[in-house]
Amino acid sequence: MNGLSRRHFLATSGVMAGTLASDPLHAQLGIRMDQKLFPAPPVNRGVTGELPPFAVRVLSKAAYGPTRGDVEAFDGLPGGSDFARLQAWVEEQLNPTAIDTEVDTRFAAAGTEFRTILASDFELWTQYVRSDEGSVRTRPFSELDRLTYLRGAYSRWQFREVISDFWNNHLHVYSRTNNETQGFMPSYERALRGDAAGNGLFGNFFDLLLGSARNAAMLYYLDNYRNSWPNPNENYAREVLELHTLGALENYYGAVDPATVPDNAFGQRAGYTEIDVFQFARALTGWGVADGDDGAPDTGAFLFRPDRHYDEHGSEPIQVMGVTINADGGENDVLQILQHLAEHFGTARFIAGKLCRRLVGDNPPESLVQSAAMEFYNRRNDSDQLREVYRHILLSAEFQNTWADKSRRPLETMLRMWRAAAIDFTPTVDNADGSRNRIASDINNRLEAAGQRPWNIEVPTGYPDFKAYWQGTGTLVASWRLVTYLLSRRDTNGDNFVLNIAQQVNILLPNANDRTPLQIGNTLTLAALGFLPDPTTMSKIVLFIAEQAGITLNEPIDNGTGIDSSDLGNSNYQKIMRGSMALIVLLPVGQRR
Amino acid sequence: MDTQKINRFDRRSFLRSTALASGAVGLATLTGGSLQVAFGSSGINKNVFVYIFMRGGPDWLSFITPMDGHPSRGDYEALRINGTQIPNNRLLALADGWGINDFGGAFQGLFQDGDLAVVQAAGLPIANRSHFEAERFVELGTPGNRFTSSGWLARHMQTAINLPGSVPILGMAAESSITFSLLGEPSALSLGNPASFELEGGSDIREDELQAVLTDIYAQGDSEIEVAGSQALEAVSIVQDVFDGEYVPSNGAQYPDSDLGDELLSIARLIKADSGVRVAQADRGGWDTHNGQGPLQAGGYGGRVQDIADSVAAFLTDLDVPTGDGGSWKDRTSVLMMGEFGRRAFDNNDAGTDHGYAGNILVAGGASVNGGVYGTFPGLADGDLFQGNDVLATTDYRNVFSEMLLKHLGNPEIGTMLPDFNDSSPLGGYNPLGIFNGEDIQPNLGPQDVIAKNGFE
Repeated sequence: MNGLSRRHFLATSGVMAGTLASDPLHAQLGIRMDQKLFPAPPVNRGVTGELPPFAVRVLSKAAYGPTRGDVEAFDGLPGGSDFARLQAWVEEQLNPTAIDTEVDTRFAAAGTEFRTILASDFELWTQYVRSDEGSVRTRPFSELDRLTYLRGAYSRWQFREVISDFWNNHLHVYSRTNNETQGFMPSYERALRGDAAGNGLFGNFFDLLLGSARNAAMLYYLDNYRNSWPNPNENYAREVLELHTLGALENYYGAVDPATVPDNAFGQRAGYTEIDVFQFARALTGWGVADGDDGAPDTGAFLFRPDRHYDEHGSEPIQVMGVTINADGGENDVLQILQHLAEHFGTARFIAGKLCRRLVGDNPPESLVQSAAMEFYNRRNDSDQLREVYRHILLSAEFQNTWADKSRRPLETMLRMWRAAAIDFTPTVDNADGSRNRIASDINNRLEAAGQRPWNIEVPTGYPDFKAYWQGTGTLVASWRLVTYLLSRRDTNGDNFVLNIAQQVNILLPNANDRTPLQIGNTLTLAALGFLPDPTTMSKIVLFIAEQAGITLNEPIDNGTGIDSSDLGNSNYQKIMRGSMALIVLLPVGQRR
Repeated sequence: MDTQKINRFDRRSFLRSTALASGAVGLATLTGGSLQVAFGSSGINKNVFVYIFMRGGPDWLSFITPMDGHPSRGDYEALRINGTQIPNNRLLALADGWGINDFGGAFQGLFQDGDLAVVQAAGLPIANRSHFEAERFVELGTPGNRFTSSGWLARHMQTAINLPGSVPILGMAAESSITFSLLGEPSALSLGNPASFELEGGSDIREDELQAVLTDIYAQGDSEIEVAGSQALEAVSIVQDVFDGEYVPSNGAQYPDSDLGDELLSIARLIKADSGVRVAQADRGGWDTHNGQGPLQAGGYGGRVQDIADSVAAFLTDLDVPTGDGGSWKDRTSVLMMGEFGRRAFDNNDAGTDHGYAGNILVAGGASVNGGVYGTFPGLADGDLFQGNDVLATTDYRNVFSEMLLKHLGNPEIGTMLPDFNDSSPLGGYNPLGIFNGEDIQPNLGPQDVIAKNGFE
């Protein structure tokens, strides 16, 4: 009988305690604030099923999973304990350089395939955004999709890629909003990463927020480019408060007088109201893009237009969350407010909580959220604020001790499979001969069906980060379909596989007599997962191979009917090896993180 | 319970049997029921609920419109001056002076047969004009809170004790990913395209054998991912079985060649295959018409009216066949249609309408639905409009949901499915309008966790 308890079930799927009760909007509905509607779910840090080795756990949570040699490399790090090795790994990962050999090599080999990634903002705007041809206008975001897969699959700076995905979602832009966003996405992504080493992602949150605010992609996505006095557009102002900084869940007080909002423990006004949204929108008037409108140049650069900016400070100062602006400071009106929001403790808590949910589990312990928030807050003026927050979380006992409180989302499933199976394929928009790259666009279509193509969710929340959303039947099937699709793919030339697993096995087991179901099962599993799961599971893998080949466990596979293990084409041997690899990467143990 | 028949959806039978064993609190509210009955065949609810979400917020005044003689026709004509007014001769009479956009002729037919209920001026208890928020308020069943981590239909599936213990598919969305109303129920199937609901690779990857061994492995464990994976693999094989071969709809039903038509057809196939579907959702978007609304254009709003009317009518026609154990599927099925909000009572300068407040809820179905016009229409005069702009809501959407849950699906746990819906709600608490046929069981308005209360674990 199934042992999943009802309580556990509700905890993972039901209404979460506290969310109803703590929402200030509930006050409007006359809903009690003092009573929790549902019993608190237990903090789910449960180790469900088998516990993989420490290195695998770390690489599954702070990276897209181990690829060949990663587990051995982790275990070979200096220090005599798991914690010492974790420290060494974290230290390296928190200080990425601009050199990323495998990615750089593939990127260089792809040549002009990635022509928009390195294009300047001016080139992106004038040659792509403003192009008359649809396929030219969409090229930049299509390339960015491929670059995301390339980096996720091959970067040695795995944590940078994981955290880059976090910020891409936190400061999300829906790439297909309009011509301006789709053509300008590489610029936006660059604005968040800061430089080739990704220092923006490890720097100060205010800079990240400002980089996002001033980029044409964000200005167009959330309508701030046309925010003008006297009829402000509130869209961006609301989302900055609701999603980018304070968060609505704990800090939105609804349509009340701001003077009635209490102060937090740091003497800051605790949250924001409808009036703060409106006032902030006022401060943001005049922000826009040099988009050719109203006599401006058409370059895509940030442009402040004083004639569209609020100018009645004298009679009615701008007031946002206790910040008062008495004189027209032009575009600087916004900077004071953004600075205040970035340095607000509510922002620290909101973002620290999200980081903990990303890196630790769906239900991070309050103690960790609080201490990470304090780190975020105390380092608010430091140039490496975010690096220190990441370090705090990654070295916490909670990070080390939590396993399986998250499941992999479709993009993570694909990248993890890519690394585990050591796929050798550079995804590009076109093939070398200029024909469309069908495999890469098939990946996009399948990720879209699974619900997680990068930059492809319309709402400004970015992709949800809790497992209930991703464990739906359709999502799982679509994710697995992506895996079996990639593992079975042959390129357009015929027999040259994206992934030649038969060849991989033969390199691992050069002597044909060693290619028995038992040895193949163990060797391939160890290579792909970095460890061997429980004996029951292992026996199923080995039996699968034996049954497919029609032989016993210790017999060379060449004894099977119609099997020639020297045939590395689309042979029976190859098909069995592909099926085995699919089985290994789709095991339940690999779906957890 | 026949343990031989337990499949991978064990968890629900496990939960239900445990609930029955210890859940006196929940059962006490079931009038006329007993512990014994809930397990016997007569205690199993066999009704099907289909939820069509009209994403974008339809202009309901262009769907169900005051005709000549309706007290609000004059105000309507005064408010609609920029190209969205529907002349009287393009409206098909329903009742009480209301007419339906003549693209919705199929709905007039259902109405005349007593198979369509029209609820007037329904909406959120507090107006919200953001798609993003209003959609969540409706689908999560928690107006005022869009961060609830499960949907109202998911909570129905989790609290109902009158569902069969062991069936393949209880809840589904005919969409590529799970909808908010079903969020948080891992067994819910999201089925955007039945043809691609399978692993891929064929013999190149030994797909069939791979699927078999994965099914075996996932069935071994009981962690969340193993349960979810088992359900996914089980669903793959069911869907492949049900969707194998050609399908000819019953009674000559003609589904439109549209996404919604395809989705309802998929749902009908699963229902008629007796796969256990009790709750299904399909989306029909495209209602966010800020400009060039085109209420009488086949390429605009009119075409969408026709699509939804023809699709739902075909669906009910297709379901008008006997079930395996008496009655027809049509008589067991209700279809509820609504959007996140209505639109402004007046049109804008661009021949469109902006976001507003109340709108209609439509409910179609056979014997389980009583056709007619329900609720109170507050009028369109200046003083009648909400904030001078919108149709005022007089019926909380949760009132219609509650009646459906209680009478149609027989689940009393309103306090969990629609928390905080009670007599102190702004538009009042549960007050059945009489739309659904079925026993009006006593709602349990308190938040419930029957098992936890009874010390389970």
